[in-house]
Amino acid sequence: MKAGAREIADSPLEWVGGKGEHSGMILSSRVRLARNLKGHVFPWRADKKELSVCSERVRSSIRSEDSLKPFSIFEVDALDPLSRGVLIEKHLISPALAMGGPGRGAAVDGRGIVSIMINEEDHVRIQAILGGMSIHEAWRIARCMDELLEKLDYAFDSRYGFLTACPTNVGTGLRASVMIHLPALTHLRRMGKLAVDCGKIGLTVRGMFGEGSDSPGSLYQISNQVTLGQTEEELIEKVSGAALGLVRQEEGARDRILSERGPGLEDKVWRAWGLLRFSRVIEAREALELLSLVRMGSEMGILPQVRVATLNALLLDIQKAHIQARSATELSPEEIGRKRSEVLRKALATTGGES
Amino acid sequence: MKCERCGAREAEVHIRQQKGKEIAEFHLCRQCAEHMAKEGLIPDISFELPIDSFLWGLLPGHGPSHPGPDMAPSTTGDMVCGSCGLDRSSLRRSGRYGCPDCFKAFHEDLGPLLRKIHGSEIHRGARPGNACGNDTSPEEIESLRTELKDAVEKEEYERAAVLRDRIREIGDLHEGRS
Repeated sequence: MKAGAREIADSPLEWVGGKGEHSGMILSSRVRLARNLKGHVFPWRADKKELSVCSERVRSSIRSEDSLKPFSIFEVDALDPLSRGVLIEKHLISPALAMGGPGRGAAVDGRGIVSIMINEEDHVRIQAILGGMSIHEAWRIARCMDELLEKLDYAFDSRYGFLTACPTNVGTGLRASVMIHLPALTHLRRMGKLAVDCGKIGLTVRGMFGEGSDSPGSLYQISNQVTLGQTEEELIEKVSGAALGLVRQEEGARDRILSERGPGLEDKVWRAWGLLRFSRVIEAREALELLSLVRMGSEMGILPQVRVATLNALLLDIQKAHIQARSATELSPEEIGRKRSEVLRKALATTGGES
Repeated sequence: MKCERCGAREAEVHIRQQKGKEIAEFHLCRQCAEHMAKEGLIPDISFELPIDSFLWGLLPGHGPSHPGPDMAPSTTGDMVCGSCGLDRSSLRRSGRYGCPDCFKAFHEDLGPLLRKIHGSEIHRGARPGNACGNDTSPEEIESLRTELKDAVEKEEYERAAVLRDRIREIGDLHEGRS
């Protein structure tokens, strides 16, 4: 990927298209596999030479696979800071990998489904993201990539499974997660309790933006805590079951809010719609909150229908690096706020009319 | 916010310490915080991976231990991985292994640690094509059996069930091939 930040920002991400079941509430499904090469120290202990050797082995293994030909492979150090920021916002690389250094890189497919991180915490981190509730499909894709790269000779122990730098990833090396939008449950202050319940069955609930149960935009990530002692299918089934359970809870919570304070809710949602379509400066946090209300309002039939793909794309397009990448000049924080409101006005102007 | 001590780097560590009625606040960069912790001026907290080293802290026995097969005593008397040179105290501090061989070198801590994190210590998931259970040696099955006995004796039935399943799985694999 020798492209500039703008091209990276404009490159597609499959999940944004909003395919997959329950794509209104479940934004994306992701599976990540952690793998290491036998006979090499883990990246955090490796010197420059060792890192390059591992990187070269992974890269040549990707290049030698015909089915992986469309992947673009890049070195983090070859990217400017803005491009790295855009890749982080797209979740194609982690903030840790974005710090760069010798041998740190990634390979990304043309549709924005698969990303293979090289020399992150582990030598290889395979990730597949799809839209909606597609966690089983994401697992199949990640596993397929895994099998293609298996000839690398992974560090594997028949008893402990795949060996990883951090003991919290040992075994399957699998982290399955879904990004889910739960505004009504958040409004009813149920997320704290639900997060505790999820914890009891070995799942973690985290806010997508910010920390804890108060997550701007009511976006949460549900993922498996443990990676050892259960099969991949069991882990994925657990995450999928919990996510679908949360969808039902959220539907119930929306009905409740609507019957308890219908006119108040309608007003709040319409105000959010108005602010997003007419404001001239807007901060990221406020935009996320308003988009959350509009997403819910659109799904509940209060507002004109806004396409899921439009709302998904906005979650990326209103972020700082995306805005800066699409501007010809260096923007000040206020200018970013102005541009953000412009992005929102433009995307929402063409959607729906007055009702 | 800049670090109070060096005034140059960004403050990343924020400490609020209560001494009697007074509350002292520190805003420090990583390097200065580590330095001050060494001098005992602020509490010694781990700066690398607090959550993982927290897990390590739950483990019993900082005392002498029996070395694993690949473990050799270092000059400081600490245990070291023979392949990558990681010592036990660095492992506990960072919460990360240095290389695949560390899992053998520090095998003694591994079982209890994995049980604390995952509630299990036996992998039941996918295997690489070239390791379809056929790298399980008779010794390993034997060690699993010993452990099963131990688990039953200690009335750890959940662990015992997993061990039994694993032994059965290996048995099936071997039969399937012959």
